[in-house]
Amino acid sequence: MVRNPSAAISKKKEYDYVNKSLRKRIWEHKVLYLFILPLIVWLLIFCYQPMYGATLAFKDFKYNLGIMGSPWVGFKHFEKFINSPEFWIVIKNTLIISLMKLAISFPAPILLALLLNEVRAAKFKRVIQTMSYLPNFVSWVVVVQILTVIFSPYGGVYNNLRNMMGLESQFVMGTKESFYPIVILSDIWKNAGWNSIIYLSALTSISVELYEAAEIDGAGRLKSTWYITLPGIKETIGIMFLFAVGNILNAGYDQILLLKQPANVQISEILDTYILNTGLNYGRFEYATAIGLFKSLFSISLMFIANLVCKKTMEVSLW
Amino acid sequence: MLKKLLSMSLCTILAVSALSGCGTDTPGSSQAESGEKPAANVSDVETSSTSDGKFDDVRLKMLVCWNGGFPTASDQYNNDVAEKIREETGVTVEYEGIMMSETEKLNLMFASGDMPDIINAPYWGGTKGETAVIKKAGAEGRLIDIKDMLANYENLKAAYEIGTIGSKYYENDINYPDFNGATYILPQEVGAGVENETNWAYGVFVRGDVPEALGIDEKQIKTTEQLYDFLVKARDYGFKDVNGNDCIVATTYHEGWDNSGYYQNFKPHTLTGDNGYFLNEDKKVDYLPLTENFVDKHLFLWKLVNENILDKESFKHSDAQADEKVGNGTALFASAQYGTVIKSTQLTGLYNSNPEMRYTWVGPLSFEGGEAATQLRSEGRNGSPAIVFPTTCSNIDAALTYLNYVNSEEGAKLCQYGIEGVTYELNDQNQPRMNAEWTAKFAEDNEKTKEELREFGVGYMLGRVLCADKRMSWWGEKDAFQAEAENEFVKEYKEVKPVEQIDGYSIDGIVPNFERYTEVSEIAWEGTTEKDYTERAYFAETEEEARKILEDYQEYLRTGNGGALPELLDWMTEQLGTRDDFVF
Repeated sequence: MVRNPSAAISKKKEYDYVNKSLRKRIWEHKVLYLFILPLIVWLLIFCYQPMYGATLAFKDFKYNLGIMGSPWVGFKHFEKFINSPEFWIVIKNTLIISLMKLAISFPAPILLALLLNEVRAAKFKRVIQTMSYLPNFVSWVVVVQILTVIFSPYGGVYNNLRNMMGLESQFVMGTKESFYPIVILSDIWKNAGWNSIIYLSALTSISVELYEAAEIDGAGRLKSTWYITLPGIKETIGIMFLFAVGNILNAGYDQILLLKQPANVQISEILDTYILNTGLNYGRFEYATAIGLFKSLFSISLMFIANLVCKKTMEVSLW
Repeated sequence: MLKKLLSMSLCTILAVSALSGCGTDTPGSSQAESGEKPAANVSDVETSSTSDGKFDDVRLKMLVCWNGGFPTASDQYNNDVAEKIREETGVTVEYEGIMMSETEKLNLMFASGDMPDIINAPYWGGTKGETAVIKKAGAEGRLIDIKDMLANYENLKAAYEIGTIGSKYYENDINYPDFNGATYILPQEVGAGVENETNWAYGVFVRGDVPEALGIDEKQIKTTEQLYDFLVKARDYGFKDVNGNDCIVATTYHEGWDNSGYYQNFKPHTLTGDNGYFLNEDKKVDYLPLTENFVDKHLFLWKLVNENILDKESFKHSDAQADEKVGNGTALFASAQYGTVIKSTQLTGLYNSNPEMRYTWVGPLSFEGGEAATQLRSEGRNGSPAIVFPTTCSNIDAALTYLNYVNSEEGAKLCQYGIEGVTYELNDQNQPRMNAEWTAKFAEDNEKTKEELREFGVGYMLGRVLCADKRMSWWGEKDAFQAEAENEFVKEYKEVKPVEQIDGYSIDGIVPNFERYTEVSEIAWEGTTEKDYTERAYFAETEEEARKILEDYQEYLRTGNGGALPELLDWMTEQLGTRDDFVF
């Protein structure tokens, strides 16, 4: 006897659908497929087609012969990069800045989302949210220019205040010690608000009943956050963390380039600025490509490892 | 159904628009789009000119590859000068500037093959920056060889004469060995003889009221010690700018240009300069960056930074920021070209509101050996802007005809002064001079007048097309208004610090012949390492730390690439006997 006839019909439909050929299934949803067609075309043209350019890393590029016609030179450019005196300095600087961003900047939007989630005054919440998103739309050139003006030793607000307190002016943007704090704090200011959107949307999926039940059980706000909210957005955090690990060697090219000063050059030369200085500025496209490829392979390896670790510890993975 | 139809049409539109940007440009397609005459093939060149040597309305594009843009007439085709040139040659060249790094732009063009008809770009000689890219483009088939064509263009040939350019430049850069005998480079802005050499009027300039308040005669400052004493006194006095704010003692323009003016007194009176070569006590060729002179001059800048004299922001600030600092009288001293300093003050009208703040020159400081400061020049320019013709040039003959005409006295006069009777008149020595109306306008507002003249096509082309510059010999002035309306202080400064020619073959001309030249280039002349080291030294906390950084750089030079540089010096010593006209 069939207890639920509608469930049986639905199962049959599912069976029929799975057994249809792929072509038939695509044709059935042709309009939806047509909608994603431009994106597939975009992906193929702008992401996959240029990949053949990566072969440049193994060639000596000649203007007249182009990428495909230039002669192969094996791992020459990789060897040159790895044996260059700057190799370890550049890798070290990139990793330090990236790890600091991972440790400090990555949790910042989560914290902001949790705080916003606790705000009950809707208007106030909206104002704060909008204000926190705005810096994302300001380019790094403007951000660094604003910082330069604020911290200028010649009439900057910061130093005027110091002088009023009887302290000497400081060239904040030009000292080695202030480089990391400026990098991290400006990164948080610019990106935390925007990045919190994804966590805020994840928070809306948590059932309100869970909080009500917790409240009846005597849980306070902190305990609700710890036992309900955080586990509720664990998967989103995990996925975002994996993306962040994949991006670990992208320490923020434009930000770092603009914040580079003579005094901090030893700690501010990262892979991307090195590529620009030694590769692109001097037309050594093949050398720049080799470093870029090295960076990509390293990042993919890191992402594989992080995916494995996340899968085992947090039951979250990309694949 | 209607919904389905609508969604499908929308998707199709999206897909088509995504694909529309993926086509490859065919030569001349951009011109065709803009309604211009499509570009002709290089093979069409022979048939495109008429029997009287004039072309049938050929339009070409010249990329002025100098970061900062290139202001032109708003209509480059319909203006007095362009029309007259067209009347003479049948050719119109339209100019376009860039707002990005010159090297990057050249690289992008040559790599992609998306090139204009003519390019004007820096070509300072040697192995780095723009020169390296242009040399690579020539050697790898991206440029047209004009060697055999030059015979027909007398005015252009003059740019290759030794005396207008130096032998070193000619041998190593114009006739670069990898060009295999081809001529790809047309030297531009090369002065024919000392009298036609541009005097850039470099120096250190001080706000006029400073020496007066301190009771110092700024013209008597000749040594580093005197300059330092002057700077310290200025710092301690407590000067204010036009807005009543505290002053910066000494500054420069973009990215530290030109802080070397402050250590002028460390520079030797030689052609190869303070980063060049000299004969040491053992009669061997030596390299100044390896000596104590290098350490001392940079330690002097360290001292200026460390003692809050030299603007700490100057190593990274832009010209616009420097303009503000100088234009408001915030910087008491500025090291640059005199014209640049004056331009900053004109932007703010500083001299109108505060005439006592008029910047005047310090010294000028002497050379290391006490010789009076001059602007040194070899037998000719050893690096210059250059005009090159990419293989995409649609009509090379038309391009050369145009250039040949604007390099004639008549053509150059037209570009610089406009039309006789309209914008200029001839004086009793038959020299062109802008007429009274324009001269009065210029005296009132230089920039606005130049802008107005540009609309007639006057005043902007010549700077990027004149090759062998004979304007002083032709007309007794280099630029329009110079004789009548040039800033009197700049004129006087140029007399105080004149151009001086040192004859002979500059020893660094033989360097590219050294077997391990590329290896030396990689460590000594690649462009960024020295700057990184020295600027790091300027911000060291102690003198010892700064010295250590500078000595580390010297060690890097000595040992880098297996000691290639010391080996070069030994080789140069061996070469000393090969010719008797070497100069350092």
